[in-house]
Amino acid sequence: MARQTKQEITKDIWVCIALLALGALTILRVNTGPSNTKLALTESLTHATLPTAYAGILLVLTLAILAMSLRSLRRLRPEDAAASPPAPAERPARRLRFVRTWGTVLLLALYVALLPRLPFAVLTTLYLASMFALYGQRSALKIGLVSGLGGAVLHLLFITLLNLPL
Amino acid sequence: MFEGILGGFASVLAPANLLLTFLGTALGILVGALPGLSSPMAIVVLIPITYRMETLPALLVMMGVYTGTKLGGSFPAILLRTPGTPAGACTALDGYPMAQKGLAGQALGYATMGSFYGGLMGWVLAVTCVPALSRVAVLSSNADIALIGILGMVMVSAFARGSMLRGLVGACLGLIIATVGLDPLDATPRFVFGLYELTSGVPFAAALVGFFGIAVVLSDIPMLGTKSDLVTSKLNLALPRTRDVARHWKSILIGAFYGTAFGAVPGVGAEASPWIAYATARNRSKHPELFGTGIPEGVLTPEATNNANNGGTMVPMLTLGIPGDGSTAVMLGALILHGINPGVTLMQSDGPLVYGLLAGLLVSTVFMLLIALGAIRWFIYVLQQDRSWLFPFVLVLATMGAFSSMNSYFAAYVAIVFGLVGYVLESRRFPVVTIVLGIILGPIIEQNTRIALALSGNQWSTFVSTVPRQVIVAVIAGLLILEARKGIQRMRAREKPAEA
Repeated sequence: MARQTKQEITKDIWVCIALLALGALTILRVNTGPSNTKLALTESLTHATLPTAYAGILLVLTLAILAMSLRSLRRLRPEDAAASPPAPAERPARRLRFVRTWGTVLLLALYVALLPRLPFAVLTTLYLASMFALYGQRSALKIGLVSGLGGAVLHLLFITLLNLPL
Repeated sequence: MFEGILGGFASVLAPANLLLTFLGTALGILVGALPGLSSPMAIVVLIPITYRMETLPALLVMMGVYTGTKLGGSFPAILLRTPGTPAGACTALDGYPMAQKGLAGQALGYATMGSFYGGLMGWVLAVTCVPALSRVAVLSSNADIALIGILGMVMVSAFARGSMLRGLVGACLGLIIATVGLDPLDATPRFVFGLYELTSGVPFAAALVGFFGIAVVLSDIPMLGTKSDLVTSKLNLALPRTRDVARHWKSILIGAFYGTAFGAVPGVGAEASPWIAYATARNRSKHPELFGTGIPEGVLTPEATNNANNGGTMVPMLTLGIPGDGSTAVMLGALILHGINPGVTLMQSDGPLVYGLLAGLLVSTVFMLLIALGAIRWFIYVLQQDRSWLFPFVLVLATMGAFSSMNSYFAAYVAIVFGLVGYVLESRRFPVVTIVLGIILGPIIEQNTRIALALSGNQWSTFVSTVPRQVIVAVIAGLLILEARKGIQRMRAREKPAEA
């Protein structure tokens, strides 16, 4: 297995912190919320037992991963531990990947938000065109053709044939 | 059993079903040929399109995709040394050197024949084991079902890619997600946050398209703009002669054996088995030194394993409701969306469907061969295409898949959230298939555990009160101990060079 860099281990630690927070919140929420258990059968397992158990196991397992990550961080060789900035040649590629990843999420959220407001075919055509542009296509003619045709075919499939109430 | 199988073939051979199986298989080969697209992703985007179909036709399309991707994944492995699917990676070891020697057409031919024979042998196992195991499985009580669910989850976590620890974290996350909604016994709202849409739980289709559709696109964004100029010449499938294939019957048999055996163990799936089969074939060969230099056995073995795996994964899926890999997890999800309750009673409640699926597996294997024979050149053409034209369509189809599951935009937003979560977790080596498994098995485990306890007067000893239950508990404990030991050994091995 390849050696992990400081940056990689730090990312692991952040994910562990998020998982620990989720586990703790799960236990807190399910044990302090409303309960109908008294109305139901008397049983040893209530609505809260299994979520609490799952979250408890999640906490224990995540703590184990966190402990291993911290241990790896302590044992890092100096050359791995030094926070070296990305090589100048790598920077544009990283930036592009970042823009495309978050652009994908934001455009998809915007697409879903606008679905009840704009006609499906028009919105899908616009969405496809903007995604093609985001993913590096530059020919306006090709983008226009593929997105227009795609919007029409998807409209035919989902609205005309499947009758989705969009 | 024979009547059931014949009935299954009668359903599958209806013209409409036959056409759907054919289309699914062709789509599967296409998807497999495109590195970055996976079988679960293709099945997920089919959910909205097949949602209004009858259950069997919908599942037949998915079965076709499942079968086709296994062969399709070998095309880029042979021609570009870039496997289209993780299962196809092993084929590149000998397939690519064969292509470099100018034998690309032959390598594709051996891959096709290996996949076909492996698929046939896997089918024989599935058709033999599923009805027999189902008869045993249907005798299970609530405690047995709960334990089988836990066993399946531990097995998948243990054998999934990455560490078992991370697999189990994923499973716990899935189990927590599965508890969202009204409690199944006393209707207490859990993690609903006042949202009406969450009272019936997290929309399952949204979770599926999030984890297997949106997350995969986000993970594959670095692949955008990459296309190969290597596949430019016209390639034709050069089908090997029967006697050439027959000469390597041992390689096919080894591949088929490992494929079916590993496929039948939930979680092992298709990723590990080709490598083990390849190593065995090499060790048993009279000329092991030639493996890796481009020989037919090196292509036949992993390809036979890959497609034999399909038959193997059908066994736990159709008898216990435990998916063997990501694709069968999504197929189980599709069954749930169609109102079918997968699990030990599936054969009893929906026998014709099970036999139809088994028949569909064989029919799609035959179609796979026919399509490869007739149109391989067109599938190779897609290897030259840029994924930036494809991913936006995958995202639209995934969004529609989530929406159509409950005709609500809420589900589409949930899919986006799960897509982001899946992307982050995958990038940190948490296998998302275990999360989906947790979501599928969570309600089964919870309901059966609580009913078993209620029936036994809250006696926890009910979970070890029979020999089969004791065996299951012992296997669970054994797996956990074994994997924990292996994890500690791996950690020590990693630390040793650092200390040295």
